[in-house]
Amino acid sequence: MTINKIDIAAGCFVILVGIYLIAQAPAPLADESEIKGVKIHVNTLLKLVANENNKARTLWTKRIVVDGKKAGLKFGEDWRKKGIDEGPLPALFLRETASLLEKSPIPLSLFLGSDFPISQANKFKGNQADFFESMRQTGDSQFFFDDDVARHTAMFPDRVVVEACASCHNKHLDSPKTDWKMNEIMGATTWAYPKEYVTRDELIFVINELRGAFSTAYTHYLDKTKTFKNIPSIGEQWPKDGYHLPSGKVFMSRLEILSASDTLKLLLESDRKL
Amino acid sequence: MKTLKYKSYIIGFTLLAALLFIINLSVTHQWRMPGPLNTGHEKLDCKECHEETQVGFRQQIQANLHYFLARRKTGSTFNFITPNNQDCMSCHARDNDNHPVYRFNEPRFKEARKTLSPQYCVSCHSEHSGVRVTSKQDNCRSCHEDLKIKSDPIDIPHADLITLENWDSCLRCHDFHGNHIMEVATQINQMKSPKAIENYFTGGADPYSQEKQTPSKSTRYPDKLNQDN
Repeated sequence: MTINKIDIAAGCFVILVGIYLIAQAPAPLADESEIKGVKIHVNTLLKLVANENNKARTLWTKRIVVDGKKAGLKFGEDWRKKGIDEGPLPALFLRETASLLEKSPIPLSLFLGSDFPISQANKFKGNQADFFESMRQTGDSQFFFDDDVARHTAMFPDRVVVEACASCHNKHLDSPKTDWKMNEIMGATTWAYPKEYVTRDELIFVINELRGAFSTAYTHYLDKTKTFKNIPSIGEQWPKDGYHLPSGKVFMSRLEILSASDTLKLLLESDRKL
Repeated sequence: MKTLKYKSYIIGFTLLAALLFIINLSVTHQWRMPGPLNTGHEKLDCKECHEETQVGFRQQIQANLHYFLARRKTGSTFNFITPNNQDCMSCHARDNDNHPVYRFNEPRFKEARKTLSPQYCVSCHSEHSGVRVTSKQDNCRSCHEDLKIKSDPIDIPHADLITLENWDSCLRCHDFHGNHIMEVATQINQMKSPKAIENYFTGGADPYSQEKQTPSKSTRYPDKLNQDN
């Protein structure tokens, strides 16, 4: 067998490529899916964010919408339109938060739906309808893996928390159900996250981003009120005291107090399970 | 004979190297495009959508080799990061989108995802097509077949249009993302013509309104815009 110049050149080329790619290789890229340190199951994350959202939704509904209506503030479906002096109804405050989450760096998704929605486009279908039916019967949250989008998903009951929710939905012309009662499950919030496990740091980051989304959603409302013909005063006082709104800082401080206990409890539980 | 063979190799190799060099020059970027840019994107720089990766070429080869050998769970893109929804949102994010793409990731849209993939911007706005919209006009049927409106404001009720499978009519009154400042028609004779919608899809005049709720940004890099000014 004879070795010609081309064989030698090819051999040298392979050796050089080997040195370039292997012998002199830089540090390998970090694998983002690899978990280092404490692993926390995604269901804990989903329970945590649902708890935070429940507190935000209740605070918004009771202390801003219900008290605010008594003080003369208005809330409606067209709140974003120019010239409409209204704020978002509870479902729309949630939608605002969901939209802000999608712009955040965390891959957490939030949706709201029902089996009797005012807009038919929000009606549950397929396996989500089946899970919701189980929830209606048992009152329990539902956890599953949504395979085609590869997301760990959870549905949490969305109950009638104040009489105004029931009466408004019962009166709405497009409502397919007109006998809603207090504490009844009106629908469900659905949360989704792509990873099965997260680190503790990631979990804290998600909570902070979610609170940031609530804060920005509330700020959007405050910004809208500045265009009202009759602008409410913004500061320390709440609508129960008159035509006032709490500042973003005051609103978030109250929310943090309301959610702190359950959030800490879930965090400690996740630690004990290790 | 042998000299001629070597000369051919050298000439071929040199021509190939020169060709690769030329098509990689920034002035010849249009040669590398798979098709003309979509309406409104004509003046965009490639980097507005095709962001360069921030890691070394060797690390990318290594990561993909390890991924191929099942020694890591994720691979790596080469040179450029594959454009995704976030890239589109850098210029087109809106607070009041009627159909934001993320919402289609909800489990109940599974069937719609199978047929339309509405969770991706590019499913309706496939880039390098030279038009504005690349989807069909009757896609609304995938989600709105069971639409029921008790207080229907239009002269021919939505239910009738659905029964007649008149799905082309939706976009003749409504703009999909709801970003136009306009009054939605309440009478059939106020509808836009099918031709006007088709023309809009292919890059023609906007039949809805010239005013937008949230205008698109002209660049995702505002610092660059300031420098140019």
